[in-house]
Amino acid sequence: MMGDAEELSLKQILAEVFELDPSTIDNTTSIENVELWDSLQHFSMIVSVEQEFGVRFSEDEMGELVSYERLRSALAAKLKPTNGSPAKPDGQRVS
Amino acid sequence: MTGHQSAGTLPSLTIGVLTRDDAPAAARLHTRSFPDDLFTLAGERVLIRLFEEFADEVTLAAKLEGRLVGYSVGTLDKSRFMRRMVRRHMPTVAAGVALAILRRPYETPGYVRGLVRWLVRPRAPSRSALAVSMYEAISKDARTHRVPPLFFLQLHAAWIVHAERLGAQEIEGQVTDERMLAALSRLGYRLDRTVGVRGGSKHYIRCQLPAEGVHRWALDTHGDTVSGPAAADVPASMGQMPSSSPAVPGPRPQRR
Repeated sequence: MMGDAEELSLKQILAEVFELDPSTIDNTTSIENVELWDSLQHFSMIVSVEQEFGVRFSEDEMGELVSYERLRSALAAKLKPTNGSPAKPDGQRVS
Repeated sequence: MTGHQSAGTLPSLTIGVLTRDDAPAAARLHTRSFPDDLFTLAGERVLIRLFEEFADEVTLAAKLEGRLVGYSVGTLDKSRFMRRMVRRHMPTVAAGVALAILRRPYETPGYVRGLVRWLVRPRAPSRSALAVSMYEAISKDARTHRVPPLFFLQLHAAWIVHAERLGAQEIEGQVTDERMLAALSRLGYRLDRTVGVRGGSKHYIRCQLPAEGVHRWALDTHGDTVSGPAAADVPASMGQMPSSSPAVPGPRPQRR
């Protein structure tokens, strides 16, 4: 689940990386309509989200996160506690 | 994953070695990607010579419908490469360096510090096993919905695999962006050291080969084309270089 504060943080990350006004970011915001959303910025955005929320996206997931809606859904799933335990990242480990 | 465009409209993305004919396009892309780089400040003629020389090194070029949209270049012997560059193009390089200093005189101390750092740099235990990643650039014009969203990392991974095939046992590179450092760690890069530079930090990174994650990430260069723009449509492994590409040079003596 994502609260308002988390959603705001997520929008602020996208706003910073893609130079957008946070208030303009909604479920229609995607790779198709954001001018600065190239593959370099795509990684910057993902790494920023991972660092901000303490999650880890797998390579398959990273390729899917091409819109705010998908990103929000994927992040919400990772933040959702399971059996009282914090969600675990499922990407590669970095030493 | 589903693609963003129908299969019938997929642009053709090809991955192959960078040739001398690609040098002018690579120079233009470099200028846009690295406006503050010494070679950029040295002017287009120097850049074109640089990429012509890179054509004999460890390079990959990504083309979208025939247009260069990304490259990854490096060398297995940076010292030899730079000596050759200077020896073959001394007048052009000298004029370019003078131009760069004229354009950014306040950067001159930084250039000198960089030269000193390079002269006293730690030497690799085995000079024959080290490839140096010098530049990667992706065209801003190549909108992500026309190339895989993970294009940058996948192209670099393909370059690492290419270097490995040429005999590299370790990759050395540097980044200035913390997020890029985090992204490249996915390929197996580890931070070697960090030095302070004007306006921030420069991180020297290394990747021991074979790196576990690289082959999974690398763009597939088999069969000349990478399937379209959709991320999940891109094969996760790297095959042979396309038959239509120039011959991949064999292993050569190394650097740094």
